Amino acid sequence: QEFTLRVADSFPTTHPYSINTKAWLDLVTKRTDGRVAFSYFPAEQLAKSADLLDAAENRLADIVYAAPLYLSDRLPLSTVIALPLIGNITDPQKLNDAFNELALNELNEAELLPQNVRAIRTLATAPYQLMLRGDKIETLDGLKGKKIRSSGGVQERSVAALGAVPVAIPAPDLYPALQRGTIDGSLFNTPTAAGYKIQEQLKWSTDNVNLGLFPVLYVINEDVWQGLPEDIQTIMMDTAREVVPPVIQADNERHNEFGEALKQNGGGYYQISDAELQKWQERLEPIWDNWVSDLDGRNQPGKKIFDRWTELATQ
Amino acid sequence: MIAGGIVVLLVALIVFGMPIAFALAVSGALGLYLQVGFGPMLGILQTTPYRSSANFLLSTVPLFILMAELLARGTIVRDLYRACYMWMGHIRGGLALAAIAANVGFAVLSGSSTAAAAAMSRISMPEMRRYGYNESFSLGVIAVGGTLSIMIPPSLPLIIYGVLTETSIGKLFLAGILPGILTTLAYILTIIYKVKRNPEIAPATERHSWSERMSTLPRVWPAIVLVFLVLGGIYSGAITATEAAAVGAAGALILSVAFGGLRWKGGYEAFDATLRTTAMIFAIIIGAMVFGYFLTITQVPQALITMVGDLPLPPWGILLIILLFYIVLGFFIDQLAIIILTLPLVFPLVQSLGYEPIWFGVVVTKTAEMGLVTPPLGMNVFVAAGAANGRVEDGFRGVSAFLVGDFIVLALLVLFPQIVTFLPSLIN
Amino acid sequence: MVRRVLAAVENLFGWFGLLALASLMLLVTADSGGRYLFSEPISGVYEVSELYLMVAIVFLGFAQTQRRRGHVRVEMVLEKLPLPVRRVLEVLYLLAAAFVFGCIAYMAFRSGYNNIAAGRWTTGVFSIPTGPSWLIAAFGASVFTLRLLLDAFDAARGHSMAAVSHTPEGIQS
Ligand code: NA
Ligand code: NA
Repeated sequence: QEFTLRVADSFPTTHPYSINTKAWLDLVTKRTDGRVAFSYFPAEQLAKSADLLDAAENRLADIVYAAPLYLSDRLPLSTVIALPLIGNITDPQKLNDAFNELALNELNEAELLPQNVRAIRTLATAPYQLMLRGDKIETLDGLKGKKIRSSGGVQERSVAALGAVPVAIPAPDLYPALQRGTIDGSLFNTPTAAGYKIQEQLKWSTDNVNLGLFPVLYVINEDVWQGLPEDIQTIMMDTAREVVPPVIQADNERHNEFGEALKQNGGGYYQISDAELQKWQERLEPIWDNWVSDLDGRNQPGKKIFDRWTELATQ
Repeated sequence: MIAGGIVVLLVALIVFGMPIAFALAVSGALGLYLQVGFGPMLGILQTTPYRSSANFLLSTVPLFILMAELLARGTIVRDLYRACYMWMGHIRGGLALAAIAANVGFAVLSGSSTAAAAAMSRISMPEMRRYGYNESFSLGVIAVGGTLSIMIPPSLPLIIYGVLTETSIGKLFLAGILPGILTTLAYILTIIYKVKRNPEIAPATERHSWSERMSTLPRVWPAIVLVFLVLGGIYSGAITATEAAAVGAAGALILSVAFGGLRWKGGYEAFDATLRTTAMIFAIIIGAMVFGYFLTITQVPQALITMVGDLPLPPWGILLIILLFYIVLGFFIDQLAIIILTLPLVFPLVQSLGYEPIWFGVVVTKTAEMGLVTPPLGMNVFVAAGAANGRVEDGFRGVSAFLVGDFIVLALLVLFPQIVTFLPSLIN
Repeated sequence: MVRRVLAAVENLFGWFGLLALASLMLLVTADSGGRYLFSEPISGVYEVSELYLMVAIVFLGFAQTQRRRGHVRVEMVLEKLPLPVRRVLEVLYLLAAAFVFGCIAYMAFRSGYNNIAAGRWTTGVFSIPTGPSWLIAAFGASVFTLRLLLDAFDAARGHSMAAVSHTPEGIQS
């Protein structure tokens, strides 16, 4: 083999994204007839989520998972897809394609290449939903004063804008906090939440709201990338897209399992009415404006990225 | 090759008296330099120390220590121990038993054994010394008692195991209860046995009269109020397990000032000592993380696991080797790091051998618990000794007898998996 | 002179550490109390605790802890070695640790500088800059490095062997 690359991410090996990354790497090795080999370090074995981008910059690893929401001080533009209620696409494949288009072009140019890394593989989770341990809440009035866990950033703003009380809780405390009623619910996406097993402590979850997507970028150190022959580059990019459908299917299966677990607790998935969603959107739109003006104020192309994403996420 | 050399270097440095935190950081950094070069080594040194401290979950470490310091500088703890002594003083080893009991209480609150060892060391070591307890025995009791915090739920390793393997955390917690009780029993029996054999390690006093005993009770209530405040706070859902440390410290401050005679000087000393103990513990955590990243990147542990899986042995044979592997790895690496590092490879293997995920999670946690007190890297021994100005080697000597009990409990969990699986099976 | 300045800086850092510890206790208590009693948590406590208070509590205490010989070690073998050997080992240990923590300090300064230069802030409801938090780590690690170097110098001259004998509170410089 000619190249051995270290790949690091933070997903547990049982997580669909980790399984999918392994499949991608194996496919690259196979397609290049073994010219590229990988040593893969999942589950934060090489660095914590927030440090993975640094790991790619200082060559501790060559390819890393960069989570814009954990690095929102350094990858603010890439958090655009976490903004709530943008666009009307619900098909996960189309959402993934749209984010891939944005990342590989605009985001690479505006924010990743200046930090000497390049996005070569992207994923977008299922949309964030409102999950509750008690009775279902269908209106803004019902949400008022409810304690909802958010993982910070845009999500925290969304929870506050909807009139609920945003609560910051470290992930390992989430399960017991739901169990004992420290919080009334959480914003989360079903496939990831299933990994934390919080469905055991939940009754209801919306399934028709898009409170934002969680962006996943796999970036490669730009010097390493430029050192790879063009045919290998092409194979890596092509295979990265090729392996996406299986991960979407795995996410769907988890979504269904999650729903089954909710039913066992006497709840299930439920929908927010269109009229009500209209009201939610009015509350949430200022977050969009805030996101744009904040970035534009720091000489970043916030408006341009926001418009492009709106365009890609709407058909 | 490099991995072996660096492990030998680490052991040599620790044995020859390099401060443990430095030994871990230096040998880890050297190993990283040899394995991946200077730039990546600097990269690890850039992010690891910062990220290990900028961590909300770990805020329980300084805050629980502060709670212990505040209680210990006032009279509240002394009154509590005096009461224990009046009631149980005629039983040999009464203070050691009280320390285990207090650790069980702490374990129900907290999932961090480091915080437990530091807090209980500050609280109970001075009292055990005051009553003439053997130094190594006392340190052993505290170090090993602190490990109960990860066996008895809530438990940080069980949560991380649950997330990494997608096993139900609720069931894991249930599964940990009986092994936690069994472990507690093993420690109690070990204390009773040791004190029977060497009565001088735990001097007893005369039996106190009932009126003397009753007279101690009115002074115990501040401690009980604090326990109820924190426990009640957690179980009513008012606060999370992490926040409990802050509420406990604030409660200890108020109660100690109001009822424990704590004044400016004692308060200052409590905060000051907390900072030093915290720096000592985090220096070791940082060193252990750096060293852990080095071992990971050599991929030697991973290769060893793959090798074990390919051995032509019956399932129980492979399982035994895996458990042995966990115990040996526990000599050198931080317990959470081991779980994160090995589970991606070990978990699928164990599943393919037909073992139950919940059972294996508890068994792994049991080995992690043992690793906390085995030399040369025995976090709880370092912390217990460091927090009480004791000697590390005394701590390791004191722990050895308890490890026998731990091994027996581990064997029981392996031979009778029902001990683990019984409670979770009830909620299906 | 160097000794006195270093000790003064360490003491100053110690006070900041105390302040951070007290703030951590009060803020987290107030946050959880406010959330439970009035459904009014304090926005930003999580971020401030993590990025500033914890970093200050940990990093600002390193040097003082070294000055008072608070970093635990195994002494059994060391005590049996002849004094000159002990002295050589001690100097080597301190220099090696100083090198590693010097690297940590340098890299933390770089991160802090980069974050400040790029104007990086957190993005929650309560937004705080991330750069200064790295600088706290950098200053703490720098003073710790200086303390290790000074101790190495003392050990080489044969002073301060308190590091090897067991006197936890050690000599005050
Ligand atoms: Na516990
Ligand atoms: Na150990």
